[in-house]
Amino acid sequence: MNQPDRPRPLARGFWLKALGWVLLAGSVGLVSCQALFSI
Amino acid sequence: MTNLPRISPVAPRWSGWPSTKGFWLFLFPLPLLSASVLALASGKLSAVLANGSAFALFLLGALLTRRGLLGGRGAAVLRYGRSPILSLKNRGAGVVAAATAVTAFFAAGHGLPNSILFGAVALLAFHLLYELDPLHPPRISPGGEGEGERVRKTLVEAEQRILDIEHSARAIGNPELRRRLDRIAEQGREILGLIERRPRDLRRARQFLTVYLEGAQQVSAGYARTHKLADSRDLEQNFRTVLVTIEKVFAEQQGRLLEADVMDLDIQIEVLTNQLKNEGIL
Repeated sequence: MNQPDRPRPLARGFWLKALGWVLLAGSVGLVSCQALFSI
Repeated sequence: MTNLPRISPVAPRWSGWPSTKGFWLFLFPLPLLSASVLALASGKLSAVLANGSAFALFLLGALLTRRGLLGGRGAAVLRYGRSPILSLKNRGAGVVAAATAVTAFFAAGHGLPNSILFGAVALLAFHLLYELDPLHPPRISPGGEGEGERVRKTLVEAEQRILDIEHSARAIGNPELRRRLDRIAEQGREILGLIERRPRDLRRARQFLTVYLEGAQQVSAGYARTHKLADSRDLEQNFRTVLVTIEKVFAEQQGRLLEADVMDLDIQIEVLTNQLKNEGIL
């Protein structure tokens, strides 16, 4: 049975995902690196 | 055994590279592992504890998130039943956010407000990337006294059967059969969605819920349990045939429910048109 494509919610757009990556790197990545350099 | 029509199997194909969902959550905290080792080499016990614990927390968060993203029995967010307030994915999000705050405070030397802010940013990033799961099941608009609760209970049982089918699918090695079961589970969910929207469709879908869905659950659970013990081509073929039939039945049920929707709408349009004609507007 052919199902029409469900419209993707706008929030899952490319730019928001890119922002998510930046924020993840900027939080998790940054504090991990800071912990390493503080040894 | 009954002679069932032979359906040509699709040759099992390599199902592709393992999913990379949630993979980066394992990579970003790797510097903490190096920091623990360096601290150990330098004899800084408190730094070893801080970095090691933070890394362990991140690992836990990443594992919970990956299990939640890849699906699995414990990962399923029940749409109708009372699922735990926190799904696996949400728990993963909480642990990753807490791990970020802990790392910022104990390992990176930030103040408390800054550390909490880091944790909040990590949580926001998580939501943007992986989307946190909803906390409450949807309300089912009742058709009458007690009707909503009756419909909800039926949907809860049906959803549990679909979860069992999905669980069985993951236990089956053959990717083709797994895909068929996943499709059946998805069709089942769409049918439950239609019933949720129009609870009076429950009557029309009763046979589907009590006979076909339950049958699909039992057959898939049975096959998942026994297929590894007995390498039987006939069993696989028969199971394949049954799955094809179930897919057809589910598609027909979905079609019937959608037709009923369309018919109702047709009747409403006709009634309204007649009213407008009687009023002399049309």
